[in-house]
Amino acid sequence: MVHLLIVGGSDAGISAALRAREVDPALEVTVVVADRFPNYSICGLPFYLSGEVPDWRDLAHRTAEDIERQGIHLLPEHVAQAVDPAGKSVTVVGPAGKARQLTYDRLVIATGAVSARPNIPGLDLPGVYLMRWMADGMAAHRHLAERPPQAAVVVGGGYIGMEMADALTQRGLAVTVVEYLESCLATLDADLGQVVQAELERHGVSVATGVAVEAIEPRGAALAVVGSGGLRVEADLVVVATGVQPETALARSAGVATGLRGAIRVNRAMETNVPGVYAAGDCVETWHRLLNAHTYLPLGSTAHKQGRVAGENAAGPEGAGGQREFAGSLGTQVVKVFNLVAARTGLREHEAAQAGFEPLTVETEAWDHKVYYPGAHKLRMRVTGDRRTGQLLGAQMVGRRQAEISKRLDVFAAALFHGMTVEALSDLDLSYTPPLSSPWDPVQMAAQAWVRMEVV
Amino acid sequence: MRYIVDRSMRALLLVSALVSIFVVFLILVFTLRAGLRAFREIGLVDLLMGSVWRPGQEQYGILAMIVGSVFVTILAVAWGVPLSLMGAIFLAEVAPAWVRSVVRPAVELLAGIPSVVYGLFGMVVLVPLVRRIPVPGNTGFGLLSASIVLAVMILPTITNIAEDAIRAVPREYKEGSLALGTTHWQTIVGVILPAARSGIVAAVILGVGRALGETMAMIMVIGNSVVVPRPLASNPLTIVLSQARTLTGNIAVEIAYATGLHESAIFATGVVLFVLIIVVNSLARLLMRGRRR
Repeated sequence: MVHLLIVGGSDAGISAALRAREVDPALEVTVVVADRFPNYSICGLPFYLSGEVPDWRDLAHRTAEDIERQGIHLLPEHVAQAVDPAGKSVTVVGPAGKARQLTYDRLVIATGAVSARPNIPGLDLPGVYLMRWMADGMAAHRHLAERPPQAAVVVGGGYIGMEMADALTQRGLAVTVVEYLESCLATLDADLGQVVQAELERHGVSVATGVAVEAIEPRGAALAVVGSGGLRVEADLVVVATGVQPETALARSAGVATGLRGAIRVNRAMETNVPGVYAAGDCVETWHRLLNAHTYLPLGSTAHKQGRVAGENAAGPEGAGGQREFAGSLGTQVVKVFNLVAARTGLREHEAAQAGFEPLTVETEAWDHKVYYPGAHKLRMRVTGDRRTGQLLGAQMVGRRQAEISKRLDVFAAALFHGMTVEALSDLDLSYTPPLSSPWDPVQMAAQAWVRMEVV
Repeated sequence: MRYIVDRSMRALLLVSALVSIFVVFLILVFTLRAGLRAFREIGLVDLLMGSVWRPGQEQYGILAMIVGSVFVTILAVAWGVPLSLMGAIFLAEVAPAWVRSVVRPAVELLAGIPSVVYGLFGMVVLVPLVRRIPVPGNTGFGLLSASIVLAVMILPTITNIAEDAIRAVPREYKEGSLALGTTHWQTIVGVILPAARSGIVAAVILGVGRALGETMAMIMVIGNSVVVPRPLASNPLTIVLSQARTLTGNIAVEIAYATGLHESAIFATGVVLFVLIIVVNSLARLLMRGRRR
């Protein structure tokens, strides 16, 4: 019988395992999990640290027992060290340090990514946390509970940095965010990033942008973060969230080729260059649906989809691989910062121009529902489309948490997926009742504003 | 010369007959030896009574598989036995000769179909049908589909032996009963079936043996999750929609990549299966002998 071995028990690995078992219930599936936490939602760590999720066990997408009931063997606390593609075996080391060989017929590598370690002295000091895996979150949680800190510095103003600033403020800490770029949340246009920054500041977070952190120094029992332009902030806890890099040591041991930012090269069937070896998740290059090219976009939602494709193809008959193709990512993301939600999908103006489009970007403000019904808030939308073809290329949105920003952005994401024109958005039959929307949904108002500008 | 040929042929025939005994003996010794390590390191009780089978963590309890095998067999017997018995009664007592000459070869043909074909039928026809039962978590693969496939597979075994048993009932019994003024059906129920009872029981037990040993078709339709079956919803009947794994299936799907204690535990599974089959077959033989007396 065919043995499918999966290395990595997070989003991509478990998705692959579940799909493979669905496709072929006669398949033997073993998942090697480096830690004790198979299928945990590491994206939920900020909300565990904020106290909104009191018990870390609740962060499990499903329990180990649920997974085993699906006929999947789990091998927790085992680290895969090397692959022998000729002998079709993987060397794994268990908690007692004992190494052994696991043979496979098909292999899925879903080793994920690790936090980037910026070149800053002091990263290993006690009280400094790189937020990535369950163990990181639990160590930080223990610190918060046992030695309640007063002040924290978050290095990095990306979406993890934003969520951590939000979480630690909720825990009652005075938080400073230090960002190297000129604005926070560089995934959005700078002026929309400013809106997010203003929300942070309104909740007492100090934000220093355009500052390069030079060192983290011990200062008595506490720490001091030193940066360019004379920045010096004292804190008892420092979170470093300056991006991630793909974890590919295992893949490289198998002779698997890597590309962009060192991520594993895969085709759209999630096959690597080594026969019988598939890869998915934060460790691989991601096919971009609009760019028709690979990018590096490590996102949990993408990891789930790639894992599902890898699992389905790995479960298929020998040599027939590639029946299922990853449809491609649009880089759709959303982050909640205090009472604000910021989201994007597709390409921004400069990205679209680089990709050879002739982009036009139009900003619109609209009420999230009929203004006569209490509790209406304005939201800001920015639509990017191609002047030549009228094709929708991307959208950004910022607004109150109650304004259903993420689901409204998803309308754009669905339209992008199907290659719709901006104009066609007005034809969509979207739901309406005054407490929740307008006869023209804000999404359609933004589309119509874009069409008006295009005509001019 | 004729004497020599006669003698050597006798010897050849004896050796041929002994080969099968020898092979059975060899297999038993070999599986026992290979499984010995598991019995020693895991312990008989933990092996048989442990419901957790996690090869990666060196936990080897085969209870889930024992329950799976026994459960699917009981269900298959529940569907298959009434059908086979009625078929056997029909063939032995009711059917006219020409009907019998069509039905009997057809039933025998069932026994000749390779089990992988049964598995295929189960996967393509039964599983999608069972999947229509609207219970959350019902994949179609599981005990119900597997037991229906199995019921069809044991049908020829039980029908043939039961028919022989019914035919072996002396004519005089039947004639005597009919002479007393009973109807044909009353004779079948009141006289013939009781007289053929031990043979029928033996037929059922041989069917059970066949069911316990079935591998390929089970792998293809039972889902193979290593779990003690439990209901999927509040209705306890939904337990038949649960996936399971049989002892035979466990051996087949895992041996390809098993090493060390894992491999030994799989051979131990084989020993347990072997013992189970020996018990079932001996029981059948005992009852068949009883019939002859």
